[in-house]
Amino acid sequence: MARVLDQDRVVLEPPVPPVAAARGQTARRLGRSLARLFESPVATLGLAIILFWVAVAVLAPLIAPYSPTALAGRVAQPPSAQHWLGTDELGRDILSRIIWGSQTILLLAPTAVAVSLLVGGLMGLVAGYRGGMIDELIMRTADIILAFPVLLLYMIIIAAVGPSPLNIVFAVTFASSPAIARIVRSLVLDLRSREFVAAARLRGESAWYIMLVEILPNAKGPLIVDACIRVGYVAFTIGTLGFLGLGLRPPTPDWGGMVNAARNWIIIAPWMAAFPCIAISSLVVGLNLFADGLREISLKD
Amino acid sequence: MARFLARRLVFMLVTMVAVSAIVFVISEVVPIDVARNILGPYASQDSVDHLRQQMGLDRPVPVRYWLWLTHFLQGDMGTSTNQLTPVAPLLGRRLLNSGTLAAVAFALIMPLALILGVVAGMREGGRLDRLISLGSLISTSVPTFASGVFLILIFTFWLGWLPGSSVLDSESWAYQAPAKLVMPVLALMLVDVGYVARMTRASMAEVMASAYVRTAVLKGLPYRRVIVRHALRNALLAPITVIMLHINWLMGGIVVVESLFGFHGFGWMMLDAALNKDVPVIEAGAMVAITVAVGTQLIADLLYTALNPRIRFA
Amino acid sequence: MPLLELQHLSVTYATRAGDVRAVRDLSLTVERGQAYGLVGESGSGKTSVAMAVMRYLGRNGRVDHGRILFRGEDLLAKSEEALRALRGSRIAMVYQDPLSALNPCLTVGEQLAEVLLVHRAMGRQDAWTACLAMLERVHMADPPATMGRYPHQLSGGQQQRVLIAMALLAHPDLLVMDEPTTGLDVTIEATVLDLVAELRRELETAILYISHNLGVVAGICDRVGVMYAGELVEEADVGALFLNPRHPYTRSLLHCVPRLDASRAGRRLAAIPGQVPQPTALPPGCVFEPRCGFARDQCVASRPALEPAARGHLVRCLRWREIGTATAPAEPVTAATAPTPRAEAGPLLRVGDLKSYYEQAAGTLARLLGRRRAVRAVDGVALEVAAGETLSVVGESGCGKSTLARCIAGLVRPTGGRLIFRDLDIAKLVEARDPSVLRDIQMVFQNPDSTLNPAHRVARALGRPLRRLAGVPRRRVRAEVRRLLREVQLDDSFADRLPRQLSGGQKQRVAIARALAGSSRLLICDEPVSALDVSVQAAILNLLADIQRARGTAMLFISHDLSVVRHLSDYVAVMYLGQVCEIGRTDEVFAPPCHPYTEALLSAVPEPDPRPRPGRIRLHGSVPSALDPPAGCPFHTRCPRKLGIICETTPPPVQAASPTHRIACHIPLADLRAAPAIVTPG
Repeated sequence: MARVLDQDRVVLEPPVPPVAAARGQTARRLGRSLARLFESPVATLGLAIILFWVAVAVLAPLIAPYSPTALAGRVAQPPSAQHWLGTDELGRDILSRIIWGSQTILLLAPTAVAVSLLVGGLMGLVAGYRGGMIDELIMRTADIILAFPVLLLYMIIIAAVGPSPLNIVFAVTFASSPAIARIVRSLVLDLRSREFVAAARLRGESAWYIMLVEILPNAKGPLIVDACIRVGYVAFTIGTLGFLGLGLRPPTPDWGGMVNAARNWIIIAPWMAAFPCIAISSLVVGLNLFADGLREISLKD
Repeated sequence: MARFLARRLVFMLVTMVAVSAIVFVISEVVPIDVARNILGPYASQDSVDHLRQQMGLDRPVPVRYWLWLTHFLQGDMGTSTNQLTPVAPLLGRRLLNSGTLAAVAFALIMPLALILGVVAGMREGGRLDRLISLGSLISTSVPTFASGVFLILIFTFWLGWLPGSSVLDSESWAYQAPAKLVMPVLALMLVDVGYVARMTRASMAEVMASAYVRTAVLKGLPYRRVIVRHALRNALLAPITVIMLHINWLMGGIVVVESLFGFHGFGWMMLDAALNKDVPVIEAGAMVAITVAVGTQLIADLLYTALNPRIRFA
Repeated sequence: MPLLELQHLSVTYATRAGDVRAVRDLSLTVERGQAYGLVGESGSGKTSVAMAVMRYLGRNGRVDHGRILFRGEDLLAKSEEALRALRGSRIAMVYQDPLSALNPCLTVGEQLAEVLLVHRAMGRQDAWTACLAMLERVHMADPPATMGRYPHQLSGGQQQRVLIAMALLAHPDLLVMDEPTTGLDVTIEATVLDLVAELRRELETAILYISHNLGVVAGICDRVGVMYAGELVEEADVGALFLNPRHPYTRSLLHCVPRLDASRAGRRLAAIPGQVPQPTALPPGCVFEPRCGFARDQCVASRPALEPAARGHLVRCLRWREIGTATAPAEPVTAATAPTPRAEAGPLLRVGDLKSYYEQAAGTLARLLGRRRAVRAVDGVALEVAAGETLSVVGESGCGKSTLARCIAGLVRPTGGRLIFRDLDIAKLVEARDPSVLRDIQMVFQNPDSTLNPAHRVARALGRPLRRLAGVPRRRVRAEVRRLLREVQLDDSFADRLPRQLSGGQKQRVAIARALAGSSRLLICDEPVSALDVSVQAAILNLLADIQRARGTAMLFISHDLSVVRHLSDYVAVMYLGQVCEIGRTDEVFAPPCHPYTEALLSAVPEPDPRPRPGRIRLHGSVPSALDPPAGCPFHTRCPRKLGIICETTPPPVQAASPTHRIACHIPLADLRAAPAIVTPG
């Protein structure tokens, strides 16, 4: 048998003091990860942007100067003291619409990712652990869905079922579960061959116990990082769907939809398109900066 | 090798048939009354039923699918329910325009992204790497439509250099109006260069940390030779698949820029069809898209196999 | 002027937890043409020394003190360009894990030739010819064909020969070899070591040989330095070091290695307690003091310097004079015990004509078309294990010993044959077995890093089997966990630790405790110590032996290491290509008559003794693929004593050398008996 000793060249992680008490360690570990996150200015910035938008979304009823659907002033007014970011083609306050619109995207993106994670995770778990024909069936189906251009897939689904929050979640789940299934499956394939899984089989544990209790907790790290990256990506997509007119029905405040409505005014009233664009861009940039920082930390471990 | 190719081709066919079935089911079976959709809400129930019968919508789904598939294979893609013209010629013209746009974008994105990625990955954690990594992360994060809006604001509204829309008159082709391609291509590049560059960087960084690059350095080879001969080929191997699959992603971007800049292409056509539930156009367009997607996947596989001796001889 | 001189070298790595000093104040000298062996366990800093000499410490590593003089010039002061001219030309390196050290996308020829193209400015044609000659020189079969191959098309031994050829092409003055035989099988390792020794005799090249294996160093080096926790603790000529070691660490290390000639009846291994200290938490005084049997207060108070104990013999110990040559009073030596007599009641486990084939990975289409190729991992094995006794299965990688273990454990479904445990048929997967068998057959695995679930604490890893297998009620689990921990000599505080807070040896102890939780009657150990350092290895082997004695558990011990097997077993089975070629009582297998393969295996084991050994048998070529095993005797392609055509066509008869000793070979027993013994009887 091959005997490979650890190279003694690079010692990255200091040993954890074994005396550390059992309980409260999870909290401490979380604290340590956060502290490490703050070492990276880029990730900190990302987190700050995310927290800013979360605060805006939560406080929307308090801070929005107008109702997002009220015709609050004259049509297509440039930024002024009454309307900090101007008004849109119907005379609605753009700032208020952006503030309320943050709720839409911050609710939809994580929900869609969570549902995809559930569906894709289950598919990958079963495919990876069971193997054989079930694996073939699940993964070939996944390949077929993955082969199709994503945005066109969204367009076809939403054209068929109509635009609504539920349908957006459904479309995102349909399109991204296969990718998640693939990741989970490869993690499971690696973990399944570990000796602790063999030990569990030797004491007669059921397949579900092994999948959920032995394997899943060890796939947690990469999945969290992937989910963070995916939230940014889904926010990107939801904005794009809104822009294409496949998002939420007007007059719901929706950043992509606002840009869609403003496109014909772009030369006359550039603020109408510019501010929602800045909003969606900053949110996705924030999410991705944070996810990238998280990924880097997890790679160092 | 021949077996590998045969396997890929079979999979390609299966994928295309499966997708056609899925698209057919999604677009035709979900409870939307196509006949009602064509005739509008004020038509009488009798005429709607009549049209349904005429279109064969009263027949069972497998029969309809079979009819559609056989017609499609003979080149009969049906009639657009929206524009009431045959789909095939419409599709051909739009595809050519989009093809021009995609080809120009692809030809600019790939070399730029690969160079940036390789340069960044050569010295992981260096100043240049951090600059490129951060820049590409931000540029991929900005949604295509937002980049497009920013470009219009800068180049049309502020500087006045470029036309703000890329509408083509019905007689001219995309390649006859290069100025109209500039901004759509730029918008696509902003999103896609960053993405491919990041993939390439990760791969290059991994290769630079590998034991065989260490061997090459400790053999006393000049740095250039280490990079060009030992690192590059291995580093480009992994992103090839990603790059070719990226054409899928590029297709999504094309829908967005065509819609934003009013460019008469395939993407815009699909969007119109989706918004107006023009089922024959959606189906035909979906088949074109899946063919392109599966075809590029095949090319990616062949390239990967050709460049990787470990597979060639396995 | 010496060729290479390291003066007060310190190597530091920048990590998140601050700077870590991997090497401290290390001085050594390598003369022209000398072979210097640097030995140490993992974490000793030996690889850092090699990489410092190559000036390739990675981005987070640096030499922060000392000088590295090569032919009188300081390497640390040299520019990148000047270094480049030296590397590959005057100083060359050979690495551990040869496959990853070769570029997968370039042919062997291209990778070899570029050394000469760059350093000797040779023409392509001349370079090619020179490379062919060098491949010939390292005894590579068919050099022209090899030049056109890609690395993955070569076997491990061949890859290492290519790397050695590559290093020697420019006739360097110094060859740095970092664990060059570590991933290789013992018979392959032996031939590579022969090559190194031969090249050393014939070329002028000096060698800095880094290894964890004392036996390997004893065979090929002139001078040896022993490293511990970043320091050189002893340095002497090879004879003096191995025959008259001075430092307590060196001596303990030599004592804790199981030896081929010491049978089990001999003595317990002298394990070194504790583990190598982390470089971030070094003891204040002597670095070895916490584990040293001779330590006194003075050893805690002050750090010893390296001082001469004899001519050319340096030792870093405060008490070397007082200690003299006494053995360390480490662990008590137990009295000799006779091998366990075979139980009257009949065997616990009976394996008959067991076969385990598995399909080679193939695509869906190939499978649908019925194109299957079976790897014959286990191909007709028969053996028995009685209650309370230990049967070891030895062989090289790919011989099927692990698959055999997994079949018996029920992790792999046998393709054919009989598996009877007590009176139950267990030739099926563990999920389909009688529940009463579950607790009786448990397993200890090879890799300490994957044997425990990283997400579960020790208390949970042990509590779950206690409840499931032993039916311990919930409220008593905690107490039972503590009892189990004590049995494997871990204190109660370990119950609340996560696996990453344990060292390799401690993880393996927990894994043993887990296997004991249900009071198993058959313990299958699959290479349980092969991933551990020798000093830790000994303690685990002792633990297994103690547990077996106390509990009367039968043990099936899988290993590639003949010395370990000899130390531990009552019976031994030798496997080659899925078949048992010899089986018998331990003393019988280790003495003539032997199967020719057993003989070769015994002869290949590097022993930590520089004195020449009798009988040198080397196997050439590599193990044939189990996809397509040779007809007749599976060993005939490599057998040095092959009789002729009969070996190629007829499966060998099983000859009984004694009631307990069987050999599958065409050579008559009388001839086998006449062979000289490889191992002196213990």
